[in-house]
Amino acid sequence: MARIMIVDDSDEIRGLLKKIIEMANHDVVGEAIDGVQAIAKFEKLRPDVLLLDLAMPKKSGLEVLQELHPKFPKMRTIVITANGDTDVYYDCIKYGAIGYIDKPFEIKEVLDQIAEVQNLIV
Amino acid sequence: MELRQKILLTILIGFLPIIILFSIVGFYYFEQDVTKFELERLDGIGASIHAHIYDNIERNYERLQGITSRTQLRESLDAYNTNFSTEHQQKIEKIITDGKNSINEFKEIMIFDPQGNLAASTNYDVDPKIFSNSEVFEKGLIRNYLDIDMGLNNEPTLFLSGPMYLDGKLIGVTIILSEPNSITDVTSDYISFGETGESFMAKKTTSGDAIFITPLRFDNDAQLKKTIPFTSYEIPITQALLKNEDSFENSIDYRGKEVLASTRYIVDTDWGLVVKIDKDEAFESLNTLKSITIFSILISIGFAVGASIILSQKITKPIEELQLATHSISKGDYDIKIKQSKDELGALLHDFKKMGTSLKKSRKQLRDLREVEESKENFLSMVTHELRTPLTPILGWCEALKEPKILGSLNEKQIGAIDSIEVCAIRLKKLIEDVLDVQKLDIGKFKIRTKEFPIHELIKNIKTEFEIIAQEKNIDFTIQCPNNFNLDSDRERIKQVITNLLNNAKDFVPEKNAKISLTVKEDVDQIIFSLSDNGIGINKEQQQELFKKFYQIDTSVTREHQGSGLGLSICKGIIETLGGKIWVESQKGKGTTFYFTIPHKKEVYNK
Repeated sequence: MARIMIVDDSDEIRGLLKKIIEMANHDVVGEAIDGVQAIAKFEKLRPDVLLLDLAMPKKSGLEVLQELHPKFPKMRTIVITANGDTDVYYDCIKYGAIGYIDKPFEIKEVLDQIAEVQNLIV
Repeated sequence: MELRQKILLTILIGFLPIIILFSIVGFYYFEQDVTKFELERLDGIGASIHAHIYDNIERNYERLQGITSRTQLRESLDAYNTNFSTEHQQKIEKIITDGKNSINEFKEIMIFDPQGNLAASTNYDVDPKIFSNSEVFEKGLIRNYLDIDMGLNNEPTLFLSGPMYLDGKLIGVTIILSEPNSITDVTSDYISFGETGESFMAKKTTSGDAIFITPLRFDNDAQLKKTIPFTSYEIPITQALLKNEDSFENSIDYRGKEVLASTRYIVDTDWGLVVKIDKDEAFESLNTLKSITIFSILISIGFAVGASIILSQKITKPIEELQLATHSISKGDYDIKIKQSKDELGALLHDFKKMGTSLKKSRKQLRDLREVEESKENFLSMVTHELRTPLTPILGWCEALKEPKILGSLNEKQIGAIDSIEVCAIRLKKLIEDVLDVQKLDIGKFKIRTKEFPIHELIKNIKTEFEIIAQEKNIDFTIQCPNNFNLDSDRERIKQVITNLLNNAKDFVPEKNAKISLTVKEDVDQIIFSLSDNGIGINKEQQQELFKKFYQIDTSVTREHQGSGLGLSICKGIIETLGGKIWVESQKGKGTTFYFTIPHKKEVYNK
């Protein structure tokens, strides 16, 4: 149902997330392996939900948000963080993030977050 | 205002007015004294001259008497008055010539009859009519008379005249012309009069004006020529002739100069006597004192300014240096170059310099420590990320494999294998989290998030989660918690602590009749949590080491309780970060109770 884009520099995690999302009948409309790709593809694909890893080469997740949010203030982003540092998440909130998932995550966590984000009227 | 100027001003303001005040007051009183002294002095001189004049007038009268009392003279005159004989005239001439010669000052002597006719003279070239019509003769008819006036050849002359009697009958008048020295010398002696002082006398003219009868020190031509109008009341001689015997502080003399004066009146001759001295001269010493005073004041000012400049310099310069040094330290420059003096300020600067050096060292140490901190933090971030990243797909795929909708169904053996992987991965995850928690607690980066939550719900939630294990292991797990208040703290972390304690407890309870109870109690300003078990207990030595890192009670190879040994030290770190305390009460063989407290404000409300 939802059109989702996955951004993470780890192939395995991207594959895993794709499987989980498709199991829940959502569409994975695109993937990106770093911040630069993420920005380029987002502008083309305009997904409903963005799953965004924070620690990436070239451009970090936060930088991606800082660039995209002014142009797409209504974008819905769930950040994925391995840092365990929720301070970074608060920084992301300023740029439109509305949910976060800790690594390592459970399937339920991922699906719950996507469902919540879907229900939000942004 | 600068410190330097403040000091200068303080010294000047404190020091100078006093000096100036004292000088002025002292000077004023001194002026009074000097004036009084000078006037008294003049007065004394005046009295002395007065007395002297009187004596000399008396002496002159005596001289007159010396002539007029001569019997022979009188008898001869009486006879001459009757018969006008030459013989008698010659007798008279002889007597008066003797008389004239006997006294130096006598110039001429003339004898008149009561009608004013000349009887005899020491010099017949002198016109007797000059005298017979004058006051000298008129007054001389009555009694002895003395006057100073212009005489022969327009020279000041002392006139003496007096009546002669024979057997009670007035027979004539003697008129003597004399040098006036005996009188004028008295006033012309300026010995004790300094440069400007003098004494003189004057008599009244027919118009009432004063005419000087003695020479004046500053006017050679004054004697018997210079007059002072009788309206010049400010001039002492006028006052003297008005019979005012007094001392005058503010007079003007015949030169128009300010003088101190003392006046006397000579009754007999109706003369005024003035003793005076220029004010300038009288107060010469005073003026000198005035100059000295002003000079002293200026010098004092100079000294005061100089002293205060030097003083303020000595004080403010080190302070300025100190201020500069402080300023440069505040900018981060710790190399202080200060000149030092050998006093307290110098010592202060020296210590300050030492402080600067040690501050520099401390800053460097701090920088080094920070670098270490930073690298620790970087390590922390890196490790967090790098360890968790591979764990994510491990755990994720385990879960995905077991979810038929994703990768299809698996058989029991396959599921069993995946469970094994999952269990180990979870353990690894817990271990990583524990290590990272401990790291964060160590470096003070452990974050807590406080929010109000209902405590009762948390406890129930924990019970529900633990229920499965409790049933597996036959543990009787009871909870006790009041349900009427919220706790303002970090729910997740408290849950972490309780869960940790529970996990420990479950491994040390007996196989049968195992009991664990979790109790929450409200105290004055804190909540007390206690977790009790009826397990094997912990002895005193073990209790000491319990909360230390990596401590494991059972270190045998086949240990049942699998853990990192970090659990309790993390619990301690968390509880202390939340502001509480954690401790244990236990006896070997008699069970264990763990207690911890959370600070709590008494804002209880009923649900």
